[in-house]
Amino acid sequence: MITSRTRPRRATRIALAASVAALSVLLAACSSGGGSSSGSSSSASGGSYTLGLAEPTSTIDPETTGDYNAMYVVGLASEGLISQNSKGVLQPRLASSWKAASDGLSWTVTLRKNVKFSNGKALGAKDVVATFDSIAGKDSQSPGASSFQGILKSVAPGSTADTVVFSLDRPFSDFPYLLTGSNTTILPASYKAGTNWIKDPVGAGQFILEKYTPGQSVTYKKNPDYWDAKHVKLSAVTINFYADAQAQLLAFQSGEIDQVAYSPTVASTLKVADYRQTTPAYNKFDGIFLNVKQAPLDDVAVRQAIALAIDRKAIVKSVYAGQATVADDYLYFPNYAVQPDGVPQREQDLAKVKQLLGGKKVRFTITTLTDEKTLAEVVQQQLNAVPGFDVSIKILTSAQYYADGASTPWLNAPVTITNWAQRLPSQYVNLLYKTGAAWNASKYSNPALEKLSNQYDEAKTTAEKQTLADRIATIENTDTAVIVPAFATGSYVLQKTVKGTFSGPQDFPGGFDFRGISNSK
Amino acid sequence: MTATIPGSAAPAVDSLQADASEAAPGGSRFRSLLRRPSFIVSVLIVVWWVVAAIGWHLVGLQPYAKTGELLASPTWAHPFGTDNLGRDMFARVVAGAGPALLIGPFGALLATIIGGALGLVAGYYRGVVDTLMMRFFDVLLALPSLIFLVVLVGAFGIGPGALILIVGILFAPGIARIIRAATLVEMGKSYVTAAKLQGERDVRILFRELLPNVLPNLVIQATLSLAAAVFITASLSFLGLGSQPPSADWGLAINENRVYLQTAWWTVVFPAVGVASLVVAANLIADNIREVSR
Repeated sequence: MITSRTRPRRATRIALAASVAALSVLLAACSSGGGSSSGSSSSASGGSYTLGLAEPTSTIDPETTGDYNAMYVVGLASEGLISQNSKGVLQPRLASSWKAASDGLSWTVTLRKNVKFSNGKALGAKDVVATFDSIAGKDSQSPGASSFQGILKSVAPGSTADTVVFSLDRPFSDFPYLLTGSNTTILPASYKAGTNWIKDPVGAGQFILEKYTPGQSVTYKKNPDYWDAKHVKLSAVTINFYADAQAQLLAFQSGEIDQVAYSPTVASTLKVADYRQTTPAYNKFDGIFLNVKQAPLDDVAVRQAIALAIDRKAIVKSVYAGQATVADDYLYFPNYAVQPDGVPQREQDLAKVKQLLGGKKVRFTITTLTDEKTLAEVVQQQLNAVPGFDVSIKILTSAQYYADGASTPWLNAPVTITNWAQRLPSQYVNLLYKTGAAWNASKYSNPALEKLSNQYDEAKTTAEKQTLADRIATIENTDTAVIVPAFATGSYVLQKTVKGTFSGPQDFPGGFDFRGISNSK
Repeated sequence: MTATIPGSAAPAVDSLQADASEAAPGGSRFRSLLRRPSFIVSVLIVVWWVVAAIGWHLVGLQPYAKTGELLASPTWAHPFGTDNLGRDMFARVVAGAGPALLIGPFGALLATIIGGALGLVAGYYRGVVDTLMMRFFDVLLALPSLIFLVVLVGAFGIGPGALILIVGILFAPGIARIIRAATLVEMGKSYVTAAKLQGERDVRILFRELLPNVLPNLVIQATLSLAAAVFITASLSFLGLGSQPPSADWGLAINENRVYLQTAWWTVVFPAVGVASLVVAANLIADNIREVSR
């Protein structure tokens, strides 16, 4: 009830509220004007950029980490010799050029001149030698070591101060691609593997790590001594840590972060056309590994039946939100220079499946980790819809799936789904198909394939490589030890305030390259 | 997400005493219940979910197969829409009653048996046995229920048998405390004294004389435990510690689909309604039984 006494008080309150509102608007306008002017000054400097990651779960050691988030944290403040752009073409970074010897048994890499680490010390051949000695050495704990095993014999300073010579055990025509692999950022020769890099984050990257706040964020400022500093427009980068993808998506929607990884969830939630999107770049495949030594998968007809029973196009749509290319059970990424020819693309063919199974009932469990849950569910769904299959799935945490010890599920369960980052075709043969290879989850063995792969590495002409690639792909496809439903691409959705184009994917082959990027936020 | 363990919130012993002493005869209580709409509706809801849990296989529902477009909104063909894998949400919500009613009722039953027996023994013998038991239960009840649950899951695993055992262990102390209080009330009555003077054995006095008289309390606690157990098992699945994919478990469905809440609300809302309807119905049944027992 409004009384005569309350009316004036209410009127006073309304007047006061109106005054506060007017003042707020005025202040906001001033603030906006100020922001605009600082925005223009920040625009001149390229502004700052904020992105979201999950917090690395272990000590951040550039040489031993296998964690993507840790690699990102390191990658902004350090750099490798070479990187790949979105099309998989090699880009010179700390190296200015590279050349193979006539016998193919060594590669000479020329370093850029006047490159400095963020602590002001010069980066030279000794640092490169020390880094690769540590990564590929006998006692190395680095995941990157696998790329060089059986290939890299030694690394030594070259005949001039700015060259490094990589001596090989055997000719390897794609060797420069190995220098874009994980854990290959160049660190000072004094760096000791196993130390906590965050305490002294020295590198020769585009940014200098200023502060790491556990559980919250990492802040970087532009590295004025970076060799190509004039093309690094951003003055600062911040990484915020989020517990899960949903939190990152909400942060992106609220404008708190400037990019979010494209995913089925993002595709269904955002109107992507209202934002910008980076060029999709191939980054991984999710392989279905079939243990060829265990019944019923020891029968190649059963393995082929599984490969023919899955609907790859539906998988691309539902698992990858269209951000993948249908694959054909051989490991040549579509952006690789040589593409096998003559292997028919496998399509879902239920009549052929029935013929291959011959009335046999095939029962198995797919074991995988949480990240691959959706693919496992879709594969199970598709196979169980086909008469003859009875498939169950077992989802483990990452720690359970990759558990240490001889009985680790990812290498011992009869059927597993594991994701692999993009590598060279022959690397996959060495890691996944080679007899007795440590990560050969299929327990596959075929000396003919290994011989062809070695010949491929030595081949100098494209025609020679093409012939060998056709034969390698035919064997991988026919024997079907690994089903490769699709090659996935990765991309990011960006706020419209972000200008410029990322030259490569935001991963270790792409070298976390922010040159040319600015933000008018 | 938290759940209250039945009995953990210190029951009103005095009211229980009054309840037990002034209870109406069994037939009269049942007729009173049938005159209560909230009881009838709640029972129908529980019966619906029980029938759904047992009978979804028989009516051709396909909770695991792709039967529609991805994340399709509700239509006549898919009244609850579809999820991110094109699975019919109606079929999954109906089939989701299975996991909910596998763990909850059996866990609640186990808790009722253990808690009821221990409460009777503690109240009947009192002394050292009573003190030791009650202090031990006090310690268990002082632990945050979900954290205690996660520890138990770590120890026993996430198989259905283990989860039933865990729910039983979790809820038994609360039930035991209430049954002990009710037993203490009964111990002061003449029929117990008469039974002792007649030389009846302790087991007979416990289960033939005392148990029927504390039974209404036990039924109420069992029903409340059922509701809490359904909620707890859904919470475990939400946390990834219960049912595993591709199970249609409601808690798991809520967790898996929460990322689609902005664009496909139906993938979260309908499983949530499943949990809520069962939990609220069980609680209402317990409330009605308690009220007619006065």
